[in-house]
Amino acid sequence: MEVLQKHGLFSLPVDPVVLANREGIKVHNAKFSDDSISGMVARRGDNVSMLVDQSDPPYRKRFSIAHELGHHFLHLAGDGEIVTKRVDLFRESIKPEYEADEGKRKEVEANQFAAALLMPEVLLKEAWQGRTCIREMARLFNVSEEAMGIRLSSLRML
Amino acid sequence: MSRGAESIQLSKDKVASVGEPVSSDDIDTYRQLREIEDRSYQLRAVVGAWETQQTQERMLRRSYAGWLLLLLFLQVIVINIVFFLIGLKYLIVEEWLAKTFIIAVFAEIAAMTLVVVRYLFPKGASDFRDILEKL
Repeated sequence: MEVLQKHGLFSLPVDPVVLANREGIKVHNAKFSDDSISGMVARRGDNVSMLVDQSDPPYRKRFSIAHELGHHFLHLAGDGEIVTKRVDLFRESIKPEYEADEGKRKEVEANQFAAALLMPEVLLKEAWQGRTCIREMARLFNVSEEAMGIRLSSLRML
Repeated sequence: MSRGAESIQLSKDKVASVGEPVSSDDIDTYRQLREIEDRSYQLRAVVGAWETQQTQERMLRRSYAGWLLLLLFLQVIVINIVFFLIGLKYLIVEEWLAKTFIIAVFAEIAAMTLVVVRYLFPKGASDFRDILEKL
């Protein structure tokens, strides 16, 4: 991942907060008016802010921050904001019905970005050699076992 | 919107309040697990050291107790032999000397018993509990 290498963060475990801060993004805990919201990112000129649900567990916050970074790098070129709902974090691949729905497509892209950011393929393949335990891999990459399982499966390493 | 909301500039209809900045520690999924493992490691190290110490002390105490019991046994035999020798008039000593000797030997046996009970069976459980509480 170029963005990790650019900031000298291409090592385990990847810290999305440090990456966000180095990109000049403030990351705060927040209580959302709507419980279905898990995070959001907003740009106002040079000021980019990111909020994550304060009640989420660490692994969820971690993934949410990576997900919002995905929106920041991929979809938030100008002023605006993108709100992520909890259900969006589980969209793994672009399905045919998403073609017409730009919002869902963006969420899938942000999820793919987050997975690639937290579990870079190169590091994942290096770490997977000699290991067969998803739990151990999840701890190494500081992600949930579920996320690790999905990532390994999507890279056809399982 | 609370502290920090002015600078963060987000939709007020979606955000009820903005809290503390998120730190790297906040999103460390396995921090608590590592802390538990560290404490567990410390505990196992302390228990291991305590077990070794207890084993060594037990062996030392067993050795001391064995020698003390042998000495006590010999002393009881000697005092009984002397007692019968005096009683059978094979050994003629002053009465006060015989009484003093017998009383002194029994006092010595009592003192050695006290030493065994007091120093060979120390209270170790509470010391160990103190160590555990400091962890």
